[in-house]
Amino acid sequence: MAFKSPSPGLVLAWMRLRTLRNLLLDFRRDSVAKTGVVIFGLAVVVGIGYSVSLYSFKFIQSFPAIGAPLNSRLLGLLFLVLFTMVSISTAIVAYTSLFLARETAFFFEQPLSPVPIFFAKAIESVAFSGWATLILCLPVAAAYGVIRQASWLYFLEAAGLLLLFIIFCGAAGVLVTILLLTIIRRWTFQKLFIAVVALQVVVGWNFFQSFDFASFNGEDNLAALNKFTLQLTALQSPFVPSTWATAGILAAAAGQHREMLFQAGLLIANTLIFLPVFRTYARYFYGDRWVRTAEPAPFWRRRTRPAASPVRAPGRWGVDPGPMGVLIWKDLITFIRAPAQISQFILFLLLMVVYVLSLMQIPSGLFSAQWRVVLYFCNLAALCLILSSFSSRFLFPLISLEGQAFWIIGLAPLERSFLVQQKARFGRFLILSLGLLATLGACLSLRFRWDFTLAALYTTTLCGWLLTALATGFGAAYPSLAEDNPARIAVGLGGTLNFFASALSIAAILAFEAAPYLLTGPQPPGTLLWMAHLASFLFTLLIAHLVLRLGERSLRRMDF
Amino acid sequence: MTRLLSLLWTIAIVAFWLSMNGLLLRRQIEVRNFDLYRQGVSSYFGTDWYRERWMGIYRGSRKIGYTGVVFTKSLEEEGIQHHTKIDGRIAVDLFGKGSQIRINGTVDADLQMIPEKLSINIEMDKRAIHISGERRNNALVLTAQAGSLKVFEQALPLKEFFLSDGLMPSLPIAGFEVGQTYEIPVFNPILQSTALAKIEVKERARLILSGMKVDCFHLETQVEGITYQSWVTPDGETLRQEIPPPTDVVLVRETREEARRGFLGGE
Repeated sequence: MAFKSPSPGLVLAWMRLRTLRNLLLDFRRDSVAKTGVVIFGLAVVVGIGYSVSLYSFKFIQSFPAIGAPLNSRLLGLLFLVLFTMVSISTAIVAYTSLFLARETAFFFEQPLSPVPIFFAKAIESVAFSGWATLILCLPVAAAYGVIRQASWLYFLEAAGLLLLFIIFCGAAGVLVTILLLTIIRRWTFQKLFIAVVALQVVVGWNFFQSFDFASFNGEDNLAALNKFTLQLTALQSPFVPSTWATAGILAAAAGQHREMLFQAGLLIANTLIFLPVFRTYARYFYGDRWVRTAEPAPFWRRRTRPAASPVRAPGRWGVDPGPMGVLIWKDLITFIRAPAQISQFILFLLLMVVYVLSLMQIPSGLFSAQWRVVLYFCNLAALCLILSSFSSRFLFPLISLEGQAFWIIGLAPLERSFLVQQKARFGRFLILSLGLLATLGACLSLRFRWDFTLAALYTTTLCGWLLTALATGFGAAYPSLAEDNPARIAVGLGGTLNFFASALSIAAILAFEAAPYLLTGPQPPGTLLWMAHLASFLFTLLIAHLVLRLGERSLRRMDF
Repeated sequence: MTRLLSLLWTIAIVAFWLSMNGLLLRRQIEVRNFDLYRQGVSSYFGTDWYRERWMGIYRGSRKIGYTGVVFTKSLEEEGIQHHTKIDGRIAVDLFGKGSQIRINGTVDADLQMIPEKLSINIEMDKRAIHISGERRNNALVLTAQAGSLKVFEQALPLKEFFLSDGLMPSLPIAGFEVGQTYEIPVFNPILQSTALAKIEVKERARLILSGMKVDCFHLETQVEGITYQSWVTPDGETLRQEIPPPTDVVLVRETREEARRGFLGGE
């Protein structure tokens, strides 16, 4: 009897299902507890997201004439931002999944055509990049429905539209990766870099032109937002994909199910069209491209070096860097050489620069003394949250990224606790350099007094210190040595725990720092301020010590 | 067989993609071919399907009434339909006797803004007039009835017109530019007459509303020799209207609740 083998696509899907099943069966009691914490944390995030969105929509709606249309345009702005962010994020994740992941290499060793491999990895990339966005945006869509007094059907339709939109953005991101790789193949890195910088300058210039806060004398931020959203023509063009999602949600909220179906149809049609495109690419180009990516073109034009020249190392100037220096140097070089890491790092830097430059647009005479204190803490919270996303994305995966080569360091004559200390020191160097620079820039942009600026630098130092300790400690306690994709490591169980712990720690430090102002008003006595600084210092020291010990202990007990 | 199925699947996807994007393109071509007024209505709604506008009516500092218009759009089998709903109350002083005019009604119009049917109720004290309209023989036939008595019947040419709240026309249009003019027939249900309204976008302006500076356009509307002033945001939201003597009232933009609150039993 002839045996008919199942299709390769089904085999890969079946493999994924089995992996999930094994994961569920392997749940130990502590895993269940950790999952419970994560689910609880997500529920809290969803709850807070819903409450904040509902309050904001209600507040804006209460303004006659501009409120209701502004809410609709803000929804459009949200979708436009999502379109950009999810596409970029998926493009980066797709690059690592499709071309660099060890599992992809494993698949290519199997008797499989490139088509199912491409689709399996592309679907995985879209799911990894989009799930968090979906969970964060659902409460916003729900709050909008409540404000518009939509029927229950709206909530189902909105959830479906959001899902469709995120899948579309993800597929667009995969296409961006494919196109970029084609361009990079032909371009040198220098040309690409110049093109990206030029593009950033054009986009950034347009962005800041739209934020002309100064013309309002800073009195009416809502009016400025109204003007900004009115000026964004991309929000209104029916040919921009984010408009399809916005129009669909608005139609669903108004009970216009026919129109909602039309907009959903547009999204489905424009998502499905990626299938034949990807299929053709996978069939004729993917395998070849994957092989070439395994041996990539030079990242930067290399100078030919004489064969006898010594290998560049930190000790080349005759100073013995010791194990700490060597390992930090190794981490730095590995970080720079990983395209997925360096590209996301550049994006992160751009985010910080955009944030600080946006602050420069706020006029100096905008706020009273009380509101300046509020602005001071809002700015600190924003900076610390950016640092928190940095530590979660770049510092948490550091130990896991040692990967299957962990045995080399494991066999070295070093305590494993030393490794945790080394990662923490490396992380502190990165996070404090960036954090202190950004804080100083933000304080100067906002024209804060010198005592406020010093206090902000002090708070950033504490937050940076604590965030590094949390990322390193949790990274050592929950390593994923089998995973080589840092983005996936960061969104795992340990990464999610680290994210929540980081958010709570920032809240605690800011609460300590804000307590004197909350208790006595905008000009608290110096003694109270010093006490607050001392309390936040002790808190940082205690938590950082505990979490680093936890990481060291777990790593010491770990088998590899 | 698998290859054939795969080919058919690809053809179906491409056909679906072409038809959906073709429909989108056709919609946009339709809108581009509209005249200024209809393009303005299209810009006013944008991607939204529902807009409302509530104004408090003031004489001096005294509030004497409110007026509200709710504009909705719907996608029916015949294409996009526009629905206008008006609701207003105004206190009047007739020969020293205080009285109140109540007006509410609806107009359904097609994509070209040509009315398909209308229904308006006007009440004053205990007297009521009901005006209804429907398309008949290439005309819009309006019939006014007071109880069982037919007051009048009038056939209007089948072209676009706007239902006013009896005070002044406030069109659902956006996308203004200084110097533009619109000419729209407006039906005044209180006077039961149709007149041509000529609206000119005079200049850019800035108005304070709820303590907030809002950019807007200053519009001048002329109907039967009377000149009205209004201030409208770039996306078509009316902020303020001034009606000259003898009516001599000012309409100020408010929320629905503010407009109705505390006025003559407004719900």
